Amino acid sequence: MVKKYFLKTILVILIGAVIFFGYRYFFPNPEKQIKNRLAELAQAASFSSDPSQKTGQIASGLFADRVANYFALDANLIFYDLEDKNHSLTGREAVRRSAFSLRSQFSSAKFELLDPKVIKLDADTSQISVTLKFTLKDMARAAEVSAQELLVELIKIDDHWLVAKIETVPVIKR
Amino acid sequence: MLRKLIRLALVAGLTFLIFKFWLLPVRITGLSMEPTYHNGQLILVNHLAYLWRSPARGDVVAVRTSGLRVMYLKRVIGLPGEKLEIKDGVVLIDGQPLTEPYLEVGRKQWQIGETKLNQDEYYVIGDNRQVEATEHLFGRVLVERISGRALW
Repeated sequence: MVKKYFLKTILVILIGAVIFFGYRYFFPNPEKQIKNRLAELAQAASFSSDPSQKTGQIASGLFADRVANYFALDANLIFYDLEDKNHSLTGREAVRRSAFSLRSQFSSAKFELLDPKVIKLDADTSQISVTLKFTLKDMARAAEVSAQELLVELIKIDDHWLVAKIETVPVIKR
Repeated sequence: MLRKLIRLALVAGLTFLIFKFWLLPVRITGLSMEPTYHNGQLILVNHLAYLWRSPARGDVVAVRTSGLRVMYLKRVIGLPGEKLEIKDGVVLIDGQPLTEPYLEVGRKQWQIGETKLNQDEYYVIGDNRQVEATEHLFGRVLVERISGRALW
Protein backbone atom coordinates (compact mmCIF):
# COMPACT_ATOMS: atom_id res chain seq x y z
CA MET A 1 0.00 0.00 0.00
CA VAL A 2 2.76 2.45 1.04
CA LYS A 3 4.84 1.35 -1.93
CA LYS A 4 1.86 2.02 -4.25
CA TYR A 5 1.45 5.59 -2.91
CA PHE A 6 5.21 6.17 -3.10
CA LEU A 7 5.25 5.09 -6.75
CA LYS A 8 2.19 7.22 -7.56
CA THR A 9 3.86 10.24 -5.92
CA ILE A 10 7.04 9.72 -7.93
CA LEU A 11 5.00 9.38 -11.10
CA VAL A 12 3.08 12.60 -10.41
CA ILE A 13 6.35 14.45 -9.71
CA LEU A 14 7.88 13.10 -12.94
CA ILE A 15 4.84 14.07 -15.02
CA GLY A 16 4.82 17.51 -13.40
CA ALA A 17 8.54 17.95 -14.19
CA VAL A 18 8.04 16.92 -17.83
CA ILE A 19 5.15 19.40 -18.21
CA PHE A 20 7.09 22.19 -16.47
CA PHE A 21 10.33 21.80 -18.43
CA GLY A 22 8.47 21.05 -21.66
CA TYR A 23 6.49 24.28 -21.31
CA ARG A 24 9.67 26.24 -20.64
CA TYR A 25 11.35 24.68 -23.65
CA PHE A 26 8.53 25.24 -26.13
CA PHE A 27 7.31 28.56 -24.68
CA PRO A 28 10.45 30.32 -23.36
CA ASN A 29 9.90 33.57 -21.48
CA PRO A 30 11.11 36.78 -23.17
CA GLU A 31 14.25 36.94 -21.04
CA LYS A 32 15.22 33.42 -22.08
CA GLN A 33 14.42 34.23 -25.71
CA ILE A 34 16.76 37.21 -25.60
CA LYS A 35 19.58 35.26 -23.98
CA ASN A 36 19.15 32.48 -26.56
CA ARG A 37 19.22 35.08 -29.33
CA LEU A 38 22.50 36.51 -28.07
CA ALA A 39 23.98 33.01 -27.81
CA GLU A 40 22.92 32.39 -31.44
CA LEU A 41 24.58 35.64 -32.53
CA ALA A 42 27.84 34.65 -30.82
CA GLN A 43 27.71 31.26 -32.51
CA ALA A 44 26.90 32.77 -35.92
CA ALA A 45 29.87 35.14 -35.63
CA SER A 46 32.27 32.31 -34.77
CA PHE A 47 34.17 30.30 -37.35
CA SER A 48 37.13 27.96 -37.38
CA SER A 49 39.95 26.91 -39.65
CA ASP A 50 38.35 23.48 -39.92
CA PRO A 51 38.94 22.21 -43.50
CA SER A 52 35.24 21.28 -43.72
CA GLN A 53 34.31 24.97 -43.37
CA LYS A 54 34.19 26.72 -46.73
CA THR A 55 36.53 29.62 -47.35
CA GLY A 56 36.79 32.30 -50.01
CA GLN A 57 34.78 35.34 -51.00
CA ILE A 58 31.42 33.55 -51.23
CA ALA A 59 31.82 31.94 -47.82
CA SER A 60 32.85 35.28 -46.34
CA GLY A 61 29.82 36.90 -47.94
CA LEU A 62 27.42 34.29 -46.60
CA PHE A 63 29.01 34.57 -43.17
CA ALA A 64 28.67 38.37 -43.25
CA ASP A 65 24.99 38.12 -44.27
CA ARG A 66 24.27 35.65 -41.50
CA VAL A 67 25.82 37.89 -38.85
CA ALA A 68 24.30 41.11 -40.23
CA ASN A 69 20.79 39.63 -40.09
CA TYR A 70 20.95 39.74 -36.30
CA PHE A 71 21.17 43.55 -36.44
CA ALA A 72 18.51 46.19 -37.05
CA LEU A 73 18.80 48.26 -40.24
CA ASP A 74 19.94 51.31 -38.30
CA ALA A 75 22.02 49.45 -35.70
CA ASN A 76 24.63 51.53 -33.93
CA LEU A 77 27.88 50.02 -32.57
CA ILE A 78 30.11 52.14 -30.34
CA PHE A 79 33.53 50.96 -29.13
CA TYR A 80 35.97 52.64 -26.77
CA ASP A 81 39.63 51.71 -27.19
CA LEU A 82 42.28 51.47 -24.45
CA GLU A 83 42.74 55.25 -24.56
CA ASP A 84 38.99 55.85 -24.21
CA LYS A 85 38.73 57.01 -27.83
CA ASN A 86 35.37 56.36 -29.42
CA HIS A 87 34.91 54.39 -32.67
CA SER A 88 31.55 53.63 -34.21
CA LEU A 89 29.73 51.69 -36.90
CA THR A 90 26.25 52.60 -38.05
CA GLY A 91 23.82 50.48 -39.99
CA ARG A 92 23.41 46.85 -40.89
CA GLU A 93 25.50 47.34 -44.03
CA ALA A 94 28.46 48.54 -41.98
CA VAL A 95 28.10 45.46 -39.77
CA ARG A 96 28.04 43.27 -42.88
CA ARG A 97 31.23 44.86 -44.21
CA SER A 98 32.99 44.43 -40.87
CA ALA A 99 31.93 40.80 -40.62
CA PHE A 100 33.20 40.21 -44.16
CA SER A 101 36.51 41.81 -43.27
CA LEU A 102 36.77 39.73 -40.08
CA ARG A 103 36.17 36.50 -42.01
CA SER A 104 38.76 37.45 -44.59
CA GLN A 105 41.47 38.51 -42.14
CA PHE A 106 41.36 35.75 -39.56
CA SER A 107 41.56 31.99 -39.87
CA SER A 108 39.36 31.47 -36.83
CA ALA A 109 37.26 33.49 -34.44
CA LYS A 110 35.37 32.40 -31.37
CA PHE A 111 32.85 34.65 -29.66
CA GLU A 112 31.09 33.97 -26.38
CA LEU A 113 28.54 36.22 -24.70
CA LEU A 114 28.83 35.47 -21.00
CA ASP A 115 26.93 36.49 -17.86
CA PRO A 116 24.03 38.19 -19.66
CA LYS A 117 21.94 40.32 -17.28
CA VAL A 118 18.64 41.83 -18.38
CA ILE A 119 18.53 45.45 -17.23
CA LYS A 120 15.31 46.48 -18.96
CA LEU A 121 12.60 44.47 -20.71
CA ASP A 122 9.45 45.77 -22.41
CA ALA A 123 7.19 44.19 -24.99
CA ASP A 124 9.51 45.11 -27.85
CA THR A 125 12.68 46.65 -26.40
CA SER A 126 15.28 45.37 -23.99
CA GLN A 127 18.65 46.29 -22.57
CA ILE A 128 21.21 43.68 -21.56
CA SER A 129 24.60 43.88 -19.86
CA VAL A 130 26.85 41.07 -21.10
CA THR A 131 30.55 40.20 -21.36
CA LEU A 132 31.97 39.42 -24.77
CA LYS A 133 34.92 37.03 -24.73
CA PHE A 134 36.60 36.57 -28.07
CA THR A 135 39.55 34.69 -29.51
CA LEU A 136 40.94 35.66 -32.90
CA LYS A 137 43.58 33.76 -34.79
CA ASP A 138 45.31 34.46 -38.05
CA MET A 139 48.01 32.49 -39.87
CA ALA A 140 50.87 34.72 -38.75
CA ARG A 141 50.20 35.05 -35.03
CA ALA A 142 49.12 33.05 -32.01
CA ALA A 143 45.52 33.32 -30.86
CA GLU A 144 44.59 36.60 -29.17
CA VAL A 145 42.06 36.37 -26.38
CA SER A 146 40.25 39.44 -25.17
CA ALA A 147 37.16 40.38 -23.21
CA GLN A 148 34.89 43.39 -23.12
CA GLU A 149 31.73 44.26 -21.23
CA LEU A 150 28.90 45.40 -23.50
CA LEU A 151 25.59 47.17 -23.12
CA VAL A 152 23.27 45.74 -25.77
CA GLU A 153 19.92 47.18 -26.77
CA LEU A 154 17.55 44.99 -28.71
CA ILE A 155 14.26 45.68 -30.46
CA LYS A 156 11.60 43.20 -31.48
CA ILE A 157 10.60 43.32 -35.14
CA ASP A 158 8.27 40.71 -36.65
CA ASP A 159 8.72 38.54 -33.59
CA HIS A 160 12.55 38.54 -33.90
CA TRP A 161 14.89 40.27 -31.45
CA LEU A 162 17.42 42.38 -33.38
CA VAL A 163 20.43 44.25 -32.03
CA ALA A 164 19.76 47.98 -32.23
CA LYS A 165 22.78 49.19 -30.31
CA ILE A 166 25.98 47.84 -28.80
CA GLU A 167 28.19 49.99 -26.65
CA THR A 168 31.35 48.91 -24.88
CA VAL A 169 31.39 49.59 -21.15
CA PRO A 170 34.75 50.88 -19.94
CA VAL A 171 35.19 48.91 -16.72
CA ILE A 172 38.69 50.33 -16.20
CA LYS A 173 38.89 53.94 -17.30
CA ARG A 174 41.87 56.17 -17.95
CA MET B 1 27.22 2.65 3.62
CA LEU B 2 24.55 5.32 4.20
CA ARG B 3 26.89 7.20 6.56
CA LYS B 4 29.60 7.17 3.88
CA LEU B 5 27.16 8.53 1.30
CA ILE B 6 26.04 11.29 3.65
CA ARG B 7 29.65 12.21 4.38
CA LEU B 8 30.43 12.23 0.67
CA ALA B 9 27.40 14.43 -0.02
CA LEU B 10 28.47 16.84 2.75
CA VAL B 11 32.03 17.08 1.43
CA ALA B 12 30.77 17.59 -2.12
CA GLY B 13 28.31 20.24 -0.94
CA LEU B 14 30.94 22.06 1.10
CA THR B 15 33.42 21.97 -1.78
CA PHE B 16 30.79 23.38 -4.09
CA LEU B 17 29.96 26.22 -1.67
CA ILE B 18 33.62 27.05 -1.06
CA PHE B 19 34.57 27.26 -4.72
CA LYS B 20 31.35 28.91 -5.83
CA PHE B 21 31.06 31.66 -3.21
CA TRP B 22 34.41 32.05 -1.45
CA LEU B 23 37.52 30.92 -3.31
CA LEU B 24 36.99 31.42 -7.03
CA PRO B 25 39.34 29.45 -9.29
CA VAL B 26 40.66 31.73 -12.04
CA ARG B 27 42.75 30.87 -15.07
CA ILE B 28 44.91 33.78 -16.16
CA THR B 29 44.80 34.77 -19.81
CA GLY B 30 47.20 37.37 -21.10
CA LEU B 31 50.48 38.97 -20.11
CA SER B 32 49.42 42.09 -18.23
CA MET B 33 50.44 40.74 -14.82
CA GLU B 34 53.84 39.32 -15.85
CA PRO B 35 56.19 38.55 -14.14
CA THR B 36 53.98 38.09 -11.07
CA TYR B 37 51.41 35.89 -12.81
CA HIS B 38 51.80 34.03 -16.08
CA ASN B 39 49.51 33.27 -18.95
CA GLY B 40 47.66 30.01 -18.27
CA GLN B 41 48.40 30.03 -14.54
CA LEU B 42 45.61 28.94 -12.20
CA ILE B 43 45.03 30.95 -9.03
CA LEU B 44 42.33 31.40 -6.41
CA VAL B 45 40.56 34.69 -5.77
CA ASN B 46 39.19 35.31 -2.29
CA HIS B 47 35.73 36.63 -3.08
CA LEU B 48 35.11 37.56 0.58
CA ALA B 49 38.41 39.42 1.11
CA TYR B 50 36.74 42.85 1.17
CA LEU B 51 33.78 41.98 3.30
CA TRP B 52 35.52 43.39 6.38
CA ARG B 53 38.18 45.68 4.94
CA SER B 54 38.84 47.85 1.89
CA PRO B 55 41.34 47.11 -0.87
CA ALA B 56 44.86 48.22 0.08
CA ARG B 57 47.67 49.52 -2.08
CA GLY B 58 49.61 46.59 -3.52
CA ASP B 59 46.65 44.17 -3.43
CA VAL B 60 46.16 42.14 -6.59
CA VAL B 61 42.42 42.34 -7.18
CA ALA B 62 39.87 40.78 -9.50
CA VAL B 63 37.71 43.34 -11.30
CA ARG B 64 34.41 41.90 -12.48
CA THR B 65 32.67 42.58 -15.76
CA SER B 66 28.93 41.87 -16.11
CA GLY B 67 29.50 38.76 -13.98
CA LEU B 68 32.29 36.68 -12.50
CA ARG B 69 33.06 34.44 -15.46
CA VAL B 70 35.45 37.01 -16.91
CA MET B 71 37.44 39.27 -14.60
CA TYR B 72 40.45 41.53 -14.96
CA LEU B 73 43.35 40.82 -12.61
CA LYS B 74 45.19 44.04 -11.70
CA ARG B 75 47.17 45.56 -8.85
CA VAL B 76 45.84 48.45 -6.76
CA ILE B 77 48.25 51.39 -6.80
CA GLY B 78 45.94 54.32 -6.06
CA LEU B 79 43.41 54.73 -3.25
CA PRO B 80 40.22 56.82 -3.15
CA GLY B 81 40.84 60.57 -3.03
CA GLU B 82 44.50 60.38 -4.10
CA LYS B 83 46.13 62.17 -7.05
CA LEU B 84 48.01 59.83 -9.31
CA GLU B 85 50.40 60.45 -12.18
CA ILE B 86 52.94 58.38 -14.11
CA LYS B 87 56.14 60.18 -15.11
CA ASP B 88 58.92 58.39 -16.99
CA GLY B 89 57.37 55.09 -15.93
CA VAL B 90 57.35 55.99 -12.22
CA VAL B 91 54.02 56.17 -10.40
CA LEU B 92 53.59 59.34 -8.31
CA ILE B 93 50.96 59.32 -5.57
CA ASP B 94 50.16 62.87 -4.42
CA GLY B 95 53.53 63.84 -5.90
CA GLN B 96 55.55 61.12 -4.12
CA PRO B 97 57.15 58.24 -6.06
CA LEU B 98 55.71 54.80 -5.35
CA THR B 99 58.13 51.94 -4.70
CA GLU B 100 57.07 48.89 -6.72
CA PRO B 101 59.35 45.94 -5.89
CA TYR B 102 57.23 43.53 -7.95
CA LEU B 103 58.16 45.21 -11.25
CA GLU B 104 60.87 43.91 -13.54
CA VAL B 105 63.81 46.09 -14.44
CA GLY B 106 63.45 47.91 -17.74
CA ARG B 107 59.95 49.32 -17.60
CA LYS B 108 58.82 51.57 -20.45
CA GLN B 109 58.77 55.32 -19.84
CA TRP B 110 55.02 55.78 -19.56
CA GLN B 111 53.72 59.35 -19.29
CA ILE B 112 50.19 59.54 -17.87
CA GLY B 113 48.76 62.88 -16.78
CA GLU B 114 47.48 63.53 -13.28
CA THR B 115 44.20 61.88 -12.25
CA LYS B 116 42.30 62.62 -9.04
CA LEU B 117 40.44 59.59 -7.79
CA ASN B 118 36.90 59.95 -6.51
CA GLN B 119 35.94 58.55 -3.10
CA ASP B 120 34.54 55.41 -4.72
CA GLU B 121 37.45 54.76 -7.09
CA TYR B 122 40.73 52.85 -7.03
CA TYR B 123 43.53 52.98 -9.58
CA VAL B 124 44.54 49.57 -10.90
CA ILE B 125 47.34 48.55 -13.22
CA GLY B 126 49.12 45.40 -14.41
CA ASP B 127 52.67 44.53 -13.37
CA ASN B 128 53.85 44.21 -16.96
CA ARG B 129 55.23 47.67 -17.70
CA GLN B 130 57.54 46.47 -20.44
CA VAL B 131 54.85 47.10 -23.05
CA GLU B 132 53.67 50.45 -24.34
CA ALA B 133 50.91 52.13 -22.31
CA THR B 134 48.62 51.93 -25.37
CA GLU B 135 48.79 48.13 -25.17
CA HIS B 136 47.93 47.90 -21.48
CA LEU B 137 44.55 48.23 -19.78
CA PHE B 138 44.84 50.26 -16.57
CA GLY B 139 43.09 53.12 -14.83
CA ARG B 140 40.25 53.98 -12.48
CA VAL B 141 37.76 51.39 -11.34
CA LEU B 142 34.69 51.71 -9.14
CA VAL B 143 34.97 49.97 -5.78
CA GLU B 144 31.79 47.96 -6.49
CA ARG B 145 33.59 46.31 -9.41
CA ILE B 146 36.34 44.89 -7.21
CA SER B 147 35.27 41.30 -6.57
CA GLY B 148 38.09 39.89 -4.49
CA ARG B 149 41.81 39.52 -3.90
CA ALA B 150 44.25 37.03 -5.38
CA LEU B 151 45.16 34.52 -2.71
CA TRP B 152 48.83 34.31 -3.70
